[in-house]
Amino acid sequence: MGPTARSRWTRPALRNRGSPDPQVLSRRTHRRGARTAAACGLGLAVLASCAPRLDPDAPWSASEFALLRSLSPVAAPAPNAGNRFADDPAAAALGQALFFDKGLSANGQVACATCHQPARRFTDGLRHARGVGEAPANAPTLLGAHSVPFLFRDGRKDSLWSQALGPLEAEPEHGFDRMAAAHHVAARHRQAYEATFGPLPPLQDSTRFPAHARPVPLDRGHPHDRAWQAMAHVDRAAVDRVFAHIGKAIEAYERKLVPGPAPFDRYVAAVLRADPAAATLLPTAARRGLRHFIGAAQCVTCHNGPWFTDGAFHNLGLPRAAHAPSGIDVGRSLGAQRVKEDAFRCGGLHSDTKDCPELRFLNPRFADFLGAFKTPSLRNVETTAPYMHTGQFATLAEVLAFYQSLPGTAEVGHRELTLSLVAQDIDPVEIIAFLHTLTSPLPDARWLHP
Amino acid sequence: MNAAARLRIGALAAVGCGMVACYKDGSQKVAPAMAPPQALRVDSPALAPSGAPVAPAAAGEVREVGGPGERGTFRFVLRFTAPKVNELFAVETVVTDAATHAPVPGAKFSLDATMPEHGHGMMTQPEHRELAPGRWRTEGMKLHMHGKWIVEAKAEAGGRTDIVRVPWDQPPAVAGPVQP
Repeated sequence: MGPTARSRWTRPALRNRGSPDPQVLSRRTHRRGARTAAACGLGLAVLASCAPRLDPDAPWSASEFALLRSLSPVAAPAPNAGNRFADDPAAAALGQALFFDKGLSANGQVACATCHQPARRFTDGLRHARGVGEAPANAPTLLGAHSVPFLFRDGRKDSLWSQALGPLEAEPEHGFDRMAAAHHVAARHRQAYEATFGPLPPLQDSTRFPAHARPVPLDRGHPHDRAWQAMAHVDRAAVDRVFAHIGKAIEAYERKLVPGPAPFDRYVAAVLRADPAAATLLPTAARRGLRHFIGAAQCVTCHNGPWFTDGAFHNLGLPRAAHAPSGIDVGRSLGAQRVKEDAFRCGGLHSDTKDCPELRFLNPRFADFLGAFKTPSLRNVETTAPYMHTGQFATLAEVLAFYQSLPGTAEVGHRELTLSLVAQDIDPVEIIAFLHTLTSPLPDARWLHP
Repeated sequence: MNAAARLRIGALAAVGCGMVACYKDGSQKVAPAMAPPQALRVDSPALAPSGAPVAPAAAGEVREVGGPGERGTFRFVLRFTAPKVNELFAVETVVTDAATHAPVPGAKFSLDATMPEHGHGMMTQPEHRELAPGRWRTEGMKLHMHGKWIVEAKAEAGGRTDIVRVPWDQPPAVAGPVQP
């Protein structure tokens, strides 16, 4: 797509990320249809398919029907044997308190909810998450995070509970340390903690438990690391155990964040029961967009399953964001190595299971992991801008423009061969209209505040 | 291969690619009327010179695929429950001598899957264990995308190597039977 085409997506009408106005979409659709028809009629689109406009209500083929069934509805989180508190109500209540607790940060100003804001579908609207400092990546939504086997953009964690511990000790995020986190839990959440997880260690003994300590493998001279190394092994293990329980409580809370059915889910349910009113449940443009999505545009190749993600890692050859941090992010190729060695991995000392097939069979040397990042869920995507792992694109229109042009080459590794251009005669406005139908009501209100 | 096995595979192959077209080894003469219940199906490029892909299977359906290797040295029969996309699954493979039909014990064995159209394989590294002479169990297979895969079984024993490549059309994840 050349500059002229790209400029289409910078029009003010298309930059509006609000709910689709069916009339606006319909007008645009007709204009696009007229352009395509004119191009075909004049023989200008030599290589374009010039396919007739999709009938938004044509009978679904068996394979399309199968795809629809695969995309809806969203199920409750599957059991997690690695966290025996995953579905413990008391653990969830503690996790909820911890999730909104700014005391779990170096400056007392950052909670999980700072970057995962409930009203924004648990994102923050920023290109890079901003905690104590600026994180190197976009904050993804937590909705559906339980549905994939590996967490973070590079999959360096293999459970929600283990993932939750990462930002707590990341310097630009919470900037905290596990020793201080344990002290904070003892001071503010002791009763709830001990009711679920048992007695805390004797943290008041400052000769054994300093105020701050954590392992810092990349900076052995760091005061936190020196304090950590000075602790007895048994005391370090005790603190690690408390830290793991913090993560497990947060996971128990996050598993409660199941959104309600989206318009798309109601549409699929109606299609499945052969309800003739199904077509009235989505705008015309969205129904066409759905057919593009599961058809010629091939979006469903990677955005599949009820959460519209394959949970896998792909190198799209994304442009480097102008505001990107220095250095190159190799993505999954490093994340796959890190998760195999993570102290809080499945099967590790603090895991409640030794049965970890995802980790056991993970191939960290898979060649295409280089420069690959995790496929994000598309549910609620309308509300989770900006997009891509470093917020490269401000709008869905920019994302679709990328897929219709695939400019440049991968910064590291190579663009996956799977990724083919979305044809020019597919109206991205229709795909975006479809994506808007994936917006769900927020989870139950009782989980949206401390 | 004994007569009973030949009969079974012959009859099952008829489901996917037709009796006459499916065989190189003469077993196409088996009468379809003698077929047992069609719980299993065999589809393989080696058995199906037309190269017709394996018919899509509903997740949970037991499938048996494979046939003679490309060099005609070994014969591979892969048995597994049709997987859901993006879920780990296991495969049992029986490797026999193509000429004598005897099991091939102690082979250097591998099983892999690739998507040639996409230029990649699986994101997992499966583990292989020989359960009995010539009978292997592979765990850790995962087809992370729906579409056209090639499942490759390879064996090396006694200075001989052979490989079989089986097309596998992985359908998208579906909760139940497809009934429009």
